[in-house]
Amino acid sequence: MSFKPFALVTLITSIGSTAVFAADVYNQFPVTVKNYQGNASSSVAYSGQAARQVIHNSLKKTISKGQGKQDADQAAKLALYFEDKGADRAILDPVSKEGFAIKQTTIGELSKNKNLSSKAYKGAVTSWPGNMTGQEVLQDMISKAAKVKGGFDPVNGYDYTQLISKFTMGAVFYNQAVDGYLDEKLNNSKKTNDKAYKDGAAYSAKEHYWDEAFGYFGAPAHALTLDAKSLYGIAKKDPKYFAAADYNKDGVVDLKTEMVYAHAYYAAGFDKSGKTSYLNNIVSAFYDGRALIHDANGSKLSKDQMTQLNDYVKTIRLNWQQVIAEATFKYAGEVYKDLQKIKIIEDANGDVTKAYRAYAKHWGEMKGFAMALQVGGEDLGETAVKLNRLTGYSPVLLGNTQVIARNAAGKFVQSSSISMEEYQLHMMKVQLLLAERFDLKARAHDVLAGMDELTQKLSSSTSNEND
Amino acid sequence: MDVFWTEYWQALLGDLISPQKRVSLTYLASAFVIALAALTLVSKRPIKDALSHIFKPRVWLSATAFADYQTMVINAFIMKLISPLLLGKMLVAIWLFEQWHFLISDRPEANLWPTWLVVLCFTVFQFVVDDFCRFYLHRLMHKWPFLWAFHQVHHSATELNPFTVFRAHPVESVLFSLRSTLSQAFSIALFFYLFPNQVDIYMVLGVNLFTFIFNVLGANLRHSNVVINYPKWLEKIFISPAQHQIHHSIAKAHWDKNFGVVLSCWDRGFKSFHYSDQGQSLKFGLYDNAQANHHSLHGLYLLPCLQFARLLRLTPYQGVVKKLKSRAEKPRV
Repeated sequence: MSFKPFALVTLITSIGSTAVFAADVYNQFPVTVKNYQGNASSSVAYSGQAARQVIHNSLKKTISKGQGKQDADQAAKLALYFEDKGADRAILDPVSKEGFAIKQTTIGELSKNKNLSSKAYKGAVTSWPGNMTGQEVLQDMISKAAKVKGGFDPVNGYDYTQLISKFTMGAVFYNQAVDGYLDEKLNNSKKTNDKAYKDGAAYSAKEHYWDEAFGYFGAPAHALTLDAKSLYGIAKKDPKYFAAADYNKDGVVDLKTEMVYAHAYYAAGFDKSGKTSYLNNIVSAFYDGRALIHDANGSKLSKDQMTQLNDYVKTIRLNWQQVIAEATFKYAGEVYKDLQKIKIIEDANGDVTKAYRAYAKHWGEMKGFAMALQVGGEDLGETAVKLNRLTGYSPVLLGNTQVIARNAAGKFVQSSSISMEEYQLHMMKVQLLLAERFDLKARAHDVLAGMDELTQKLSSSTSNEND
Repeated sequence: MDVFWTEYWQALLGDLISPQKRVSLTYLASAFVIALAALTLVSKRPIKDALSHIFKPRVWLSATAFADYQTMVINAFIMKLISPLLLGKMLVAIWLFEQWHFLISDRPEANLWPTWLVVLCFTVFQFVVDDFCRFYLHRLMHKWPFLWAFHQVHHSATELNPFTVFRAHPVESVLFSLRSTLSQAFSIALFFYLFPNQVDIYMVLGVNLFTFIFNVLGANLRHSNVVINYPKWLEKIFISPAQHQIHHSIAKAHWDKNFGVVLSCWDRGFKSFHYSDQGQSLKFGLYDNAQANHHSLHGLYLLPCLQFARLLRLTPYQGVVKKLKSRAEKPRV
């Protein structure tokens, strides 16, 4: 690890305080804006993104607790965590529990006037019926989720909790970060590093855009001091990892800087396998990029510095995309297994209710991530077409039907489809497609796990030997 | 291009070093020990006599032997060139795996058997399927004139040494590759379908356990001048080196016998089984060995193609086999 001079500054300024900070902690870059008159010691600010992470978690919780048509207020409850911007909105997740105390209880304690809808992807979404923008898809899903118990629509096989959550991760967090802040905003030549982002701000535009993208990834500021297992445990609010989460040792987990959310949670989940290092790659690139901006010391970034910064962006973009592709891959494997279970239960004339519910849940996760993958600003071309064709607009339902469209009234239209056996194979093909296109390594729930290795072991196909 | 040549030389050297190859030094050494033991302890020949028999110049340094070495070097080059075009094993395995979903509707969810048993069964199954496929393709190569046109290159060897195993026309090498792809992909796909997340193979030095045993127990002596017979009861189960030498014999009674590699059951089932004879003395090659030019590059590579082309014109008339055999029996200048 290279020596970071500002870390020394941080260390020196920290002596005498209750905690001694180490290097590689993201939120400790000092202010470099010239003529800054304020009191801030750090130029890092991404509280709005932390607020949106918490809003997303709370939205998810609200959908899953819905009572369907019996609860006339459900639509309003969901709107609280999608469109509304009230500061007094309660944080529904993460909340304190025994052994894992959380510092904040309302969204306003993190940031004011923040919602998800205004930041949702405005481009077209071809992976969902209705020819809508990302924002409209989410709005439509939320309105439908309000009408079904627990966010589950058994008729169309939609688990809205999962669909909305995973697509929000794409249409808001991923899109905002890689298609906005790290793309045109960062490269906007008018937003230079030699002036404050706005009057009185402790950071420049370049610093702020970089920080906002970091906030959307969902890693805690001290992520580089932790291993994947700890990060995963923190996201799960496992009391065993409370000490790891509470970096400043104030006895509570600060949702601004010490919590693990969304994409970072999934990255840590895959890294736990030891086959990947997505989280480290992404957070290190964020950290090194931020250090580069800091090292410019309040001056404009040179062409070379911008080139280097964009190299860090490439690393972030690639690894982030792989994390989403890995998640899609993982849930495609789960759907494959669910279909197998359903087949076995059906053959034995058993009750498939529970298995069908699990199938819809995993499908929602798979589809949500598959949709998220396509809103990162990169045209995935043939891969996207194949992915959408293989996954379809809904899972194949028990009578071998599938949603094929959304009619003028906004209702889903079903038609006869391929069989569940064939759809099971579609999930395998989804995995093959993703593994090849995105060079996946973790490959959780791989339907063909070990086949490639075994094929390699038996590799003698080009043998010239006779008998 | 440099990468190509590096890989080529590595592949060629790998034949001599890699335990995955039958002519690797390990198996050549074990074959030598077995041959020496058989000649001195069983045939009671003096050690000097045994050594001079094993290293007979006619076996190792004659035109037929050099033809073997040439094909080894040239075929490795050709296969290196065309291997990217050959059917991928993984591709076939995945396709077959898909088909199993429709053939056997309920893929077991839980582990039906303990993993060690699955691995053992796969090791045996893969070995048996591969051995059968080798037998069957070999049989077809003798029975189908189109294939015999190419396979006769292997049988044109008038002396057998372990490197005769490489004496094959490139068309035949492609067929071996296809055979190996299909047989292995079949085994892999079936076991992956029936035993999710449990399939593996017991290997020694990178080869199937049973193939390793076969190789280490003197597989190289199949192509040699050392006659090693098994007791009749054992030859009913495993093909002895002497039985394979019978397969190369020009005596009419030995034609189309002992196609198998390891197991004899296939030959017994297809009525092509032949015991070896104690002290058998055989002449190897094609019929009356009139085709002297079979040891030349022209004979090894071009003649089979010409013969194949001629056959294409003959088909679909009946009696193709007869015509082919009569042609092959006549000396060709």
